[in-house]
Order: sequence, then structure tokens, then C-alpha cells
Amino acid sequence: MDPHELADVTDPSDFPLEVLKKLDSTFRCTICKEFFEAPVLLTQCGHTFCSLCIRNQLPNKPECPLCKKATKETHLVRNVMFGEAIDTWCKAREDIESIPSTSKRKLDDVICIYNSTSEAEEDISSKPKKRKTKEEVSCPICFRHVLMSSINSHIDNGCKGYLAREDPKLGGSDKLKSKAAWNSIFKQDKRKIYNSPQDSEIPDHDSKLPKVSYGTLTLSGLKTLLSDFGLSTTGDKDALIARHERWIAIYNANLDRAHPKSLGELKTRLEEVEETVNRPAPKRISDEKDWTKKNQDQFKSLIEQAGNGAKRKRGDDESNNQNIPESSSERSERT
Amino acid sequence: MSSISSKRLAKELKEFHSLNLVGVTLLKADDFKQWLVGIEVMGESLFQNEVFALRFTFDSQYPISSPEVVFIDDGVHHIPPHPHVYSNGHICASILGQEWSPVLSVASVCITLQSMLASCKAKERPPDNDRYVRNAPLSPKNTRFHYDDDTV
Repeated sequence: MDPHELADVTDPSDFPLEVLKKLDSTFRCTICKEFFEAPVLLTQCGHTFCSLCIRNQLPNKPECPLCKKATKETHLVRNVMFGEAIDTWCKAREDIESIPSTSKRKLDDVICIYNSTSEAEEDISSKPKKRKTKEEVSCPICFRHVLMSSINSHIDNGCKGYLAREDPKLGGSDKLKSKAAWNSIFKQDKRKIYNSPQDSEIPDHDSKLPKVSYGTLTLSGLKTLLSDFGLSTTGDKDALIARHERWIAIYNANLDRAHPKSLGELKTRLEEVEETVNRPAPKRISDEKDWTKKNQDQFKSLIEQAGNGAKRKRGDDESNNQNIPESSSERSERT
Repeated sequence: MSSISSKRLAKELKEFHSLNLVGVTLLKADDFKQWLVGIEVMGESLFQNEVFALRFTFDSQYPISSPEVVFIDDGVHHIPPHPHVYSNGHICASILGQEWSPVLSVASVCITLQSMLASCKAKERPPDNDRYVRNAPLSPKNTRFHYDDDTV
């Protein structure tokens, strides 16, 4: 596993203080474990999930994943205030994590209130020092430049915001901050990326797409449904249905955001989801004996090759020889 | 790389380390496709001092779709004789099938199975073991189990 994959992940354990850990986890969806994105309330039981998470889950089972109380998609209601609370916490989290060591005094006071163990003090005072660095790194997902200290939040936010420099003309860190602040007010800036007039359209909060009974639709009817939104119409009927179902989930979930995204952004999201889902599944060997028989020759030659390689290497380097036989047998098994 | 399932599993891995569950150890988690977890029943039970290995297999739809969970026999670990565990490692537990919920996690499945083993009253296979194992699909996720016993 690539160690970077783990390094990117923010989670409640980022905080040494128990209360902060708890607070952080209450702002996370129990399905995806990320901060709630467009939180919706299940009006039958009062639990909250990301809009898209619960919309993906409900077709499987029309009940609350937490308490199993029966519910329907029509029972979902935007949780506006909670969404604001999460936004605020995300910003505060940034600040709490990057409190520089000069203001350690204040932090110590906080620790005295919540937790008097010396262990916590050590933890929290060592962390900001590490994160204080103004070093820029390129995001492993979107490849844009992000300050080392805010890379976690950047990735958590789906690669939006926290950019080290969006405009090469702007340099200094306070300029960056003010720019980010202005950006959050004039979000339209980002939407300009999508030039097509239709793609830049931002759907209205109350324009939820209805469910479609696909059984009654012909192939061409399905294609018109998709092409109405400018979606791809390639693939067989099942693929088209799956695409349209995903589109409805993404589209309706988007309407639960405080600031819905443009259609163009949603389309990119749909393409991303399709890509991860349609990645060919690793082939499963149905009949092991048959498979072994069929590939016996290949196994033999591979084992031989590996054996030769091992012998040669053993001659080259005595100290390394212990793990060579092991790895070669492993390789032959895998093929 | 940044698919929902691997992001979620990365978080679970981190959580797993910080939880430090008693009797649950991560044997192998090199990728976000398959994990091996060792589980041991603590305290007094029929399975005292025995460690079993669970294999979790995740697909790209995890956690919306349930993980495939089976006991494995790798020479070191063996498959526990339990009325809900077939001799091929398949487990008849509702939370792995019909009752799966995306809020469950690897850790919570381990705890459930730990308690399933702990409450075992007799070390025996399910009554229809031979018939099931003969016709069992590769993955227990393709089996339609009938959950008829709430006591264990």
C-alpha cells in the first residue's frame, strides 16, 4: 500500500484531546466517515447522513442505516444549520491544527481545562511545530499546489479551496488567505471553468428529479432522458439505467448543498464515479484444479526461471538469499 | 485511488489502530481489497486460547455493499467448529448479508463475530453443513442464508 494514501486522510484521531476527537467525529457521516457533504435529516428518526451516501444506500434498503427505522427518499430534508456548523468546524479545525508554537500559552490553558495529563500537552505542542511549515506540496489528486499545513483539509474538501496559489501573481500568505476568503464569497469564479452555457447552469433547490420506472422505457426513451442533460449514451440498456440512476442520486444530492454546484461539475463527478465502478473486477478462478492443469506449463517455467534467478542472485549476494526463495514461490502462485 | 471505498477503508485502518480492540489483530492489510484479521475469544468460552483468521474482501461499492467475510484455514489458523460456521469458512450471520448496514465497519463485524464465538454452546457444524459445502458458491455473498436462530 502506498503510504501516501494514509497520510492524506484526516480523521478524529488527529486531535490529542478526547473532547475534540468526539466533536470531530460528530461532524462526520457514519457511512463515508468524511465530513458531511450536503447533510440531510431522516425525518422519521432524526439521524443525519451525507445526501449522496444515503441516496446510494436507500435503493438497497429503505431504512435508516443507524437505527433501521423505515424511511424513503421523500423523507429526506436538508439539514441547513448542521451544514453551517460543519463548515464552521472545518474552518476552526484548520486553525486549531495550525496554532503556531508562539501561542502555545493559550493552548496550554485549554489543555488545563480539559485534560491535565502531561501526555496530551506534549502531543499538542509537538504537532503544530511539525505542521507550521509553509512548504508547498502538490496535491496527489488534483496536482495543484497546496500548503503542507492544509493539504488534509484540501483533500477532505474534495480538492476545493486551500490552494497555495491560484494566481501566480499572488504570493504572500496573508494575500493567500484574503484571496481564499474572497473566493468563498464569489464562488462563481470557479464555475467559469465550464464554458458551455448549459454546464454552467446551477440547478434550483426545489427542482428534484423524479424517479423513473425504467421497465416502461424503450432504449431510445432512455437515451433521450440522458441526452437531455448532455450525458453519454454509450453502453447497453443496463449501463444506461445505471448511469441515469447515478445521475439522479448525484443531481438530487447536489440540491441539498448550501451552494449547489453547476451541472458541469456534476457531470465530472458522474464520470469519476463510473470510472471507479466500471474498473474491471479482478478475475476469479472458478475451478482451481482446472486452472492449475491449464497453466501447469506456465507455472513450471516460471518456477524454473525464478529458481534460476534465485541461484544467480544467491551467488551474487549471500546476505540477501533468505527472502528470494519465498518471493519466487509467491510469484508462481499468483500467476 | 481516491474512490469512496479506499478513502473509507483508510479511515477504518487508522481507527482500527487507535481502537486497540482486545483479541482482534490485523494480520494483513496491504491494500484496500483484502484484509486478514485474527480474532480470539477472550474470557471463558469453548474457544479459549484459539485464534481464528477472518478474510475481508471489499469491492468498489463498499461500504454500501457488504464486505465478503469468511474464516480461513491457512495451516496456522483453522475454521472454528460452530453451528453458524460452515466447514468451508462461510459464516451464516445476518449482519454480513441482509442486515448489513453501511454504518458497520470491519471493527464492528469483528466484535460481532467474537461474541458469536463466545456464546457458542457446542462445538459443532451447522446441521446442513455437507449439503451446503457441496453446492456452496465461491463467495458467501451469493448465498441466500435463512437466519433462523437469534440466540447465538
